[in-house]
Amino acid sequence: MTDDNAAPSGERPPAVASTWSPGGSLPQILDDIRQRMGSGTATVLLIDSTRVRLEAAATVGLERTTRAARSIPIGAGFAGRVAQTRQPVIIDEVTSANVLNSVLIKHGVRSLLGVPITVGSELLGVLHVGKFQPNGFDDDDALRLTELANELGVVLQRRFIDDSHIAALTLQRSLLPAAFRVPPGIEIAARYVPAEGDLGGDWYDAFQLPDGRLALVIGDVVGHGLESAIIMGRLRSALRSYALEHHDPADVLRHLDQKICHFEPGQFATVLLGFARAPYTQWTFSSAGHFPPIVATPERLPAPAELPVDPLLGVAPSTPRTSTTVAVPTGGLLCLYTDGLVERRPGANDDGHDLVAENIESLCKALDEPDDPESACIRALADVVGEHVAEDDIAVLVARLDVVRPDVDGDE
Amino acid sequence: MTTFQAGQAEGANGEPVMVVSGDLDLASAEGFVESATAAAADVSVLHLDLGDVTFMDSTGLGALIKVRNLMIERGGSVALVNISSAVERVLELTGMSDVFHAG
Repeated sequence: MTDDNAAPSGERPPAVASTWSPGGSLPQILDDIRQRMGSGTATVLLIDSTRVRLEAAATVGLERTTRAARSIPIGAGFAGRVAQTRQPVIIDEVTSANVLNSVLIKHGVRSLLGVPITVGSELLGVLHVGKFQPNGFDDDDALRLTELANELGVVLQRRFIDDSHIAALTLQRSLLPAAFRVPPGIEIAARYVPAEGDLGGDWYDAFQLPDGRLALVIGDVVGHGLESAIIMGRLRSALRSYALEHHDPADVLRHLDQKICHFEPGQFATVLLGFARAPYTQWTFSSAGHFPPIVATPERLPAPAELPVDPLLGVAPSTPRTSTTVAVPTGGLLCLYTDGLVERRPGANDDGHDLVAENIESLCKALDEPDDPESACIRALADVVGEHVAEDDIAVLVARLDVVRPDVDGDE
Repeated sequence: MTTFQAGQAEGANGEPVMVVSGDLDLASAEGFVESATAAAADVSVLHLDLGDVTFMDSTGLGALIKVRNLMIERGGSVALVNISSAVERVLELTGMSDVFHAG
């Protein structure tokens, strides 16, 4: 019997006697790496389907990192630099200038060593370890971690091939843009965090239309698993089509509702859709069973917009729908999110607490910082979700309006 | 986490009421639809007491809407005779309060 799957000779993966059992979980492997390196933390980031961003896949010693630093552009920050140069990077003293992930800093990580995970010529991701003291790593450590990263690469490559869950995640990720093409005057960032052990039907979208309108979308298909992800993909593209034809978000959602009721009976989804034209200070939103957006202005505390909520999609095709104008001043911010961010199953000691209201409040607080949308997303996830297990998947999108400089001179 | 349970009781006018308690979520949604479909077999209005539902997620809501749509297809309806604050909040957040209270 011939081995059809063997790589052409010369490109065969290095025959490393694997240190880890094939079924070992990523956190178990990382824990082993942490012990071998004598470090406090160990983290793996994997390259995503767009090939331009890294996503935190697992971490030990730093429980909040996985969620807080979901996605880093290659080239930016510490891990991004490792991926770009494909060389070990040692940071003797961690500062906000050389590390993007504020959670690392918050947890007291003082020095870092990162190496690329490659198999043959293919970059799979980045492995990094951290210590709570400065000057924690030298060149010998870099060599040792590189060897471990090579072994990890072989394990991960096998897993990529085998794991249908990763395949399903890839489907979902391929539908969720990691970077947006947006017009000048507005910046947008978003994150998707799959539920622990399962994926769901959350999505976000941001796109410009030929007539100049900008659309912001967030939605949640009820249910879990591959089926929800597939329905999500259909709704996402149907919504884009209806947005080409209809200027009122309520009309778009009415058509989308008819589409679900007719073609996807038994499926339900919540959607929030907003349109605006430059300079993007006047938004028209329509909500189908979805949380209203949070609006932050430079002058007052962020708060949910006053927005009537119409029934979710899939209940009845004739459901009446409304649109509402939401004003966002220049320098202000809009945050769209799915219920996974704020919903919590009540614990034994939570009697009487409105956990959702409390979480929305802490989300508002997290958004009350005048920084870029990427950081706002990271802080929203770190502060609101924190170390809580993600039982439901989470999508969050943040748009910030640039402070427009007057286009006349003498603007002092 | 509170275990999901479904049982039968008698309403103020002698009508059968399906009493649901615990978490109505991904784990219990299918069981809920089955129980409700069985309870709805002989009635045109399915009375549901959700007063002791401790938590309802979107899958639980989907199950509730499925049961409602099933009844409407048959020319019947669902009447919520009692709802917990957990259920009320989800219905409000998803714009479903009127849909169920009118039904």
